[in-house]
Amino acid sequence: MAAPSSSGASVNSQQGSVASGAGNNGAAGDKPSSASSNHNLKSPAPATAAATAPGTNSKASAGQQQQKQPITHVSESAMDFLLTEVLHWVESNCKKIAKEQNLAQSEESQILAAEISAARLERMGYSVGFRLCERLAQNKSIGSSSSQNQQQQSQQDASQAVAASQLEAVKFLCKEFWMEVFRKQIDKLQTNHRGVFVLKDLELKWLARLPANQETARVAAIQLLAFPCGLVRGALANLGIPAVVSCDFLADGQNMAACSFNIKIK
Amino acid sequence: MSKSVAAASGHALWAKMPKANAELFALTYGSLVTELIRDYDSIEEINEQLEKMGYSIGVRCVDEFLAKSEQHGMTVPTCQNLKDTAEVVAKTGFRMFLGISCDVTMAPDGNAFSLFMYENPLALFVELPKTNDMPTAAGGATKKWEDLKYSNLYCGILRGSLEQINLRVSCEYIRDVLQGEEVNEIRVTLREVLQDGAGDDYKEE
Repeated sequence: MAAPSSSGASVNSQQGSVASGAGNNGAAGDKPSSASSNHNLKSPAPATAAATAPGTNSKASAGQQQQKQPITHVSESAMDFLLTEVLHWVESNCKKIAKEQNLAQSEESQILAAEISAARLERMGYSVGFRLCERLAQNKSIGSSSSQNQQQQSQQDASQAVAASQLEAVKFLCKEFWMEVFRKQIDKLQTNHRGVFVLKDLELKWLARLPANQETARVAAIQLLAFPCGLVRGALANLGIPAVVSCDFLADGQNMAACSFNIKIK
Repeated sequence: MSKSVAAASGHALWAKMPKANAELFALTYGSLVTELIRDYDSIEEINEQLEKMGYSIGVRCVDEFLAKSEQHGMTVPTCQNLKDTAEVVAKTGFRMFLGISCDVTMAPDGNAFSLFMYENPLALFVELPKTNDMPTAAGGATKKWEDLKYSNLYCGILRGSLEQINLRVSCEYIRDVLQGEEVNEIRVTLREVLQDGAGDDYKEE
């Protein structure tokens, strides 16, 4: 969907898209923190603020304290702290669940706990990715112009067009979305043009501090990667592409931060 | 005088901190609160969990604060009393981590202060439901959304970080914009000034 550049019109498109986002989220079943527009911010155009470059906005918010500037950034350490807490909580909560269900031997319950924690992180990542993509994609038009031209052509070209728009969506994911979340772009994107994509990131920030070559670090990394998997799945779902996302940990002893995400479009 | 020093350090540190997307921050916190609501039955438990999580963040926060300010050559003057501490927390600390600045009002007896936040990065895009009941998982008591302290994380962060500098405090969320008030207010009350906790083992012989 293409949004015009004037701030009044972009607010309308924001509300329109947010309403559809809220509708989808209602179907997805979570109630309290719905992605509706924030009535408390006085400034009218958080949508355009999100679209402009990060550097200018941080200066703006530091400079003027009198008028309310929309908050566009927090410090990276705040985000890191929050993430660590989320992981910690998910893990300790799952230990609690495992203990409660400890009818079978401890091995099974541990595996069950690990699966529950991964599923939970993935679910959180899904809702975050879905909503973040909604915000980030507001000003982008992905493949809309090309789809009109393709309508008169044959069946074969239609599937090519679908593949092309999927590729555009994944490229958006790799560039803009990844940039917002991880401050860098995906390092390698591979596809077979039939609905399978492999995204490789060789230096994922969240994994950068893990000690090399330790088994516990490996386990922790795999648990942590459930969140970005959910992010990817949520973002794709918002762009209209249902997919299954799995991740692999590519660390080779030296570089603990390499990982790859496999997207298989349903 | 210390007010403007704290504010100036706050601005300077904020400019030098690497930034992350605030919407991502708010959405992550929102999904965390959603999960908590799914899991726990009573609102008090949820508030308590949020405070506990904030506590462990706060414990690490103060180290980060001191380290970063030293790294960027900004000396934080030693606080002589609670008022100075409150100023530093509100003007420097909050600005450095969240990019917002808060106002501080001291209580008349000097043992408590209130932090007023006009913007809340944790609560971007958040609205609490108006109706007072929601179907709970186990069919237990209905939840009252007006009791939910959505940003209780801050209370825990303040308690954790101040405890590391030997001030035992209790923090409470008094007014919340999400509940319809105009401003977020957190009341911090000093309970006790702790002794240095190193103990006899570390005393010189």
